[in-house]
Amino acid sequence: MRKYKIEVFNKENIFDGLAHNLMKDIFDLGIKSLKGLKVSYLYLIEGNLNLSQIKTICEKLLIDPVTQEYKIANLKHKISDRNAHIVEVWYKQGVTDAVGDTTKIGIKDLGIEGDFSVRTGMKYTLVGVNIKEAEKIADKILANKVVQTYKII
Amino acid sequence: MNKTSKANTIEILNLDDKELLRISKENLLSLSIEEMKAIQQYYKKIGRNPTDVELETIAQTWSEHCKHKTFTGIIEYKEIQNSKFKIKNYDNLLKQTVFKVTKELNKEWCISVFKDNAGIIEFNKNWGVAFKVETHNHPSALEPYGGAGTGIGGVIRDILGVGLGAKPVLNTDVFCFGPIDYPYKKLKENVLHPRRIFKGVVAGVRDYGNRMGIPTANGAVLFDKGYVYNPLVYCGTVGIMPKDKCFKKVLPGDLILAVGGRTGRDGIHGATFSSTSLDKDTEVSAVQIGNPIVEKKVLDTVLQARDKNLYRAITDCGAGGFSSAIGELGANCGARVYLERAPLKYEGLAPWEIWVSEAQERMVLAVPKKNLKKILKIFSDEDVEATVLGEFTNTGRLEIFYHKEKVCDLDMNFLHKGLPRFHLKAIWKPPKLRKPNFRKISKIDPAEALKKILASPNVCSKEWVIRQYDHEVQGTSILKPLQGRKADSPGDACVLRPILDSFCGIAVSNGINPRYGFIDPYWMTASAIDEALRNITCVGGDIERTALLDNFCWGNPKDVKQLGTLVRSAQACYGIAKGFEVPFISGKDSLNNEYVDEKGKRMSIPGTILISAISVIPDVRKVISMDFKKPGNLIYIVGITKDELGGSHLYYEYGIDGNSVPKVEPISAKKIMKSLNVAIRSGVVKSCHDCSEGGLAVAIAEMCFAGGFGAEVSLKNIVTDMGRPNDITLLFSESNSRFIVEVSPEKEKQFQEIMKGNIFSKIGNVTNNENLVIYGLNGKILINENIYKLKDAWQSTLKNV
Repeated sequence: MRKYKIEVFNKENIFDGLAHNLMKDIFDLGIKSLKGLKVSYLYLIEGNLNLSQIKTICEKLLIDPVTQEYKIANLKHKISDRNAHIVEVWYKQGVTDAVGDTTKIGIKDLGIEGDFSVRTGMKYTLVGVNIKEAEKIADKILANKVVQTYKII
Repeated sequence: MNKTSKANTIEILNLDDKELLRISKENLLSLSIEEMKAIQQYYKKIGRNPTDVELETIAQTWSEHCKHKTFTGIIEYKEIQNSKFKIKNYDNLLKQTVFKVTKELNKEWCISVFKDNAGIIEFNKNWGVAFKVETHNHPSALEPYGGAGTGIGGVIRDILGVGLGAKPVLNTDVFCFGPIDYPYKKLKENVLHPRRIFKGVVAGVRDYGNRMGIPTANGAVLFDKGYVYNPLVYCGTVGIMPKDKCFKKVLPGDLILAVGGRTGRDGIHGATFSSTSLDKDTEVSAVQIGNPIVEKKVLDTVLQARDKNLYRAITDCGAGGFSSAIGELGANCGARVYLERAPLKYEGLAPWEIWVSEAQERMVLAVPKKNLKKILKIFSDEDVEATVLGEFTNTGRLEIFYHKEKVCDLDMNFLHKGLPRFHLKAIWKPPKLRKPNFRKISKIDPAEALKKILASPNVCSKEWVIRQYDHEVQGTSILKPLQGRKADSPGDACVLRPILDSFCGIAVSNGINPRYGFIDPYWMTASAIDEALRNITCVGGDIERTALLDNFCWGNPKDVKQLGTLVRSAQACYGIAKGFEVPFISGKDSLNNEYVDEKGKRMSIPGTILISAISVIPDVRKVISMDFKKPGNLIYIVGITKDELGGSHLYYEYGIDGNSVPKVEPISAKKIMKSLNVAIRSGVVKSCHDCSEGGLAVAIAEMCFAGGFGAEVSLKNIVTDMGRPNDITLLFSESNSRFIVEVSPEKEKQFQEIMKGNIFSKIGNVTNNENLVIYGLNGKILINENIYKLKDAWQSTLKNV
């Protein structure tokens, strides 16, 4: 049983509409100290797949090679920037993860067989805010506690 | 209820009232004491206790959502006006108002009304068109993206489940939110900010509708502080179907086939949940998450099976899940279900959870045994899961088994008819609003007021929303939601041509104005009907080929005042629609839209009715848009302008009270609409726009910047019933049944000929510059504004949300 956490994000210099809109929402919330925001899509694949299969999945299915790139992340984040906080948002147990389900079908369509599960989440790197502000942003904008949980790293 | 994967018996036979209510409350059944006692009575008679599956089935079937207990209950209504009492008792409000219009009018082109998942009217010789509008308010308040997405997903399935299934060709969406600049500090704990709800809802509808490949081309967005705690999300779908596929009939022996998504714990108790108010601890397994890709596959395969006549009946799993779908299909014969056969998302669900889960994207079909192989092949070819859950019987009972154990055995007759009726009281008394402050009004600068209203959230451009929706998919659009030279101005109604080898089309519009309801819900409803019909008329639709849908969203019906306003609104549905001779074909109500704060204070939405109109257009080549077409053309106003500024945008913007809410005279209004329809169809009208929100000034400004032309208009010739008319009232009054019409000088005579017998007058002409100039009664210039500056005001409000 192996666990892979894949992070998909926009290449440098590619406009990120989602991040742009979220920054606006955060300013509207009254938090003006935010300097930057980076958004990545997370996929947690658990099961008997090997690294080369995972790479195929990333390249053929999860990224748009023109605008996006990926990395197979460590399960634990390391933060180099002291002023940054990472918010990870995941669905709660039992909540239907439609993107995860569709990804699973996509992987099978690539001809990759095996016993595995896929869960999806979001990662937001907030630059310039303190931990309290990060919590407020996560509560009010990034996560909906009805269906999601978040952790701040 | 217990979540072990076994059915449990629940002791109710020897309980007193208090304990019965506790059972209802603890298990989120939302059943009243009268209802719990009726259930106890039934089980006393058969001499045993119910299982949890049975109790849940009854609760779902008897929920407000499924049975409309308020509308079909017994209501004692009292009206107090000028210290006079008027008392009227209703023994089923729905039958005595909304249904009554349709029954009395008895239009031969109404194919199926009020009995199926949607209303169906005739489209042409071979086709019928179905329309349904639903609400998804509670789920959208908690999880806007999922709530709105599954709202649109649900109404699409209603269309797929009407008759033997229709193909969805159009989605409509109307939203009411709190103000997007509402202060964060004022929000209660755990309530999402209106801005977040707004963005989430739009994204949810966008993602679901676009991925289903259905155009979203009609809608409205309103903001008012009454919707901060309970936003309203109306989702509608229009479908087209062969005329011989409009009815379903289940026969005993038919197999029960479940098609589509798997069953999980998501969306449990949605139906009973919608019968209660929200508070900060509202239980949330009720939120559904949608998957449009699954639904798209279900849609495509079901329509294939329909065209091969492989099933006899179909319905969607909406509120109440399998329990409602199978319970309804088998209501007249009986059904036997084996729950363990249902495909699950994960293990560990209790039988009652499988039975009532509202997991999305599921349909239930009644399939004759001999067709099973063929129909299963259609589904398996497209990777759609289909499972036989049991069969329909002739026992008149609902029997459910779980791993050979009988977990439910209910008499269908008791289940569907054993519900005790509501006895409710309602009172309506006109509110005492202050008279308008005339000193304040006389100080208003007309040009500034015009810009203010154009920029106000309820009038301003909704392009930011509309552009996120795909309104071109399927390639049927004739008149789009945004019109004019640059395709960025507000159309009155959308028109599409669903069958591409015919010029026959469909126009869809809506009317909604909750602020009039603060003064009088009767005239709010009348105005909404008039607005929807006006919009249809503007594009060239004939109101004699138009049908209406009603969607009531109200607060707590146990509150006598709230119920009073609801009754008054329903009365208008009868009175006004009867006057117009336009039938209702379908509708829905969503009650208990209120929020209870930690101190027990109840905050209710303003009683809001949405009227949607659908019209069959014989020839789409004759429809017109609202933008001015050519300099030199003449501008007419059709209809009478009255002193009706109560509830208007002008008064709202300037904080003025007033009681003179716009009224409707359906007989003369109908005549105007009929004549105007003849004029448009014979090609003498170049453009036509609804003169309503914001009044004449706003309507003409919109026509100017849409066409890219100026206009010169004088208020002198406007027909009014005011003894001493004044400029401000003429510019901004929101009197109903009025239109601004552009006519070319060559066709003027013909236009006057056709309109004879109606009130209309020439007020100006289109000019070849970029200024809107309006002259007052004394001949002096009131407004002289660059049309692009007006457009800027109109566009800037929601440009960068």
